[in-house]
Amino acid sequence: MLTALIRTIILYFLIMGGLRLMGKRQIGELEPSELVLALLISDLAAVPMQDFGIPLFNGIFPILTLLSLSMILSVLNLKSIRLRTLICGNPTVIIQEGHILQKAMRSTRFTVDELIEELRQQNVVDLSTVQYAILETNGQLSVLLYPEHQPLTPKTLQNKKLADAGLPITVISDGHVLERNLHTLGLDRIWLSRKLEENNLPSPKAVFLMTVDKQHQLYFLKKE
Amino acid sequence: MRTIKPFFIAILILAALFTAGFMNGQTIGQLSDGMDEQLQLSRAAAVEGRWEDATEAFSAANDTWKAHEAYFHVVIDHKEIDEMESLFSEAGSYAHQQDSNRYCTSTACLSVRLSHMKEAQQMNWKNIF
Repeated sequence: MLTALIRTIILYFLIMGGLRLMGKRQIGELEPSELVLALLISDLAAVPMQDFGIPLFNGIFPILTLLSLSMILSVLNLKSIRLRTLICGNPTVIIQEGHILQKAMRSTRFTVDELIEELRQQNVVDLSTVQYAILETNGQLSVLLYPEHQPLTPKTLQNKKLADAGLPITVISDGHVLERNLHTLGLDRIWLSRKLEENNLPSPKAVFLMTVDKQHQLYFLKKE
Repeated sequence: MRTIKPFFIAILILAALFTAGFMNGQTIGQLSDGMDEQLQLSRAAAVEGRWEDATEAFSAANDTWKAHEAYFHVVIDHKEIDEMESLFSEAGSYAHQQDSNRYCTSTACLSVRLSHMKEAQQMNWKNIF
């Protein structure tokens, strides 16, 4: 029985590692850890269900192990950005400011045909209207159009001049400052401290989420 | 704190599973060693023609098996249990006939099966890989 437990732990990490190496395209809509859990649990549950000669505990034991591991990883994911990146990966920008990033496409093994197909599925037929396209960790493509091609809203009707806010980038996630994102926006810690002070926030630890766009407009949510 | 609670619950479940697995390995090991010891005594007595001692030792092993039958059903493959039961029954009938050759062969098979059962529940590299 203990052997089944150890085997389950090894298989879980083995399949998860394998799926991470396979890349986002293979994963579909599930996060890697969720997919591993779904695949393994369905198989583990099916065997003792079909074969009455196998004790039910032989199925229950590994399933409980998988669920516990999944719970531990999801809590650790919540606490550690590094672990989250390691397990789920990072979203990859495929189109930036209208330019297709061929290097990013090669690294994610995302073909031009697939990109066009994904855009068509989101009712985008003209590539030149796309400002940003991001391949998310669950394998889906998020598309942001240039302001002049975005659907009309009451707010855009009021402002005749369309402001190009660009893509909001997360600079604080669950109290952690994402230095790389801050530098991508051409900002630094001094600017961030000033903004925190302006909004009566004692430190980044008090912020659950803060995003900044190209116009340096802030959106933040205090930690409860 | 709300996010940490499921983490500790999961750690507790894993610890409980590890403990249960370890305890199961130990229990199966002790039971199979005990039964094997009785079978060895029984075989030695049968070879010397002391059938009363041989039957007594064999009954002790058979009683241990029957007393833990439900437990074995929960943790061991049912096919393996069926084979063990038929071997016990076969050895019992040879003991009744006082056929030492067949009795020794049958109990030796039982001893091998018991050592396999014990070995399969132990945590070692051979079993894991």
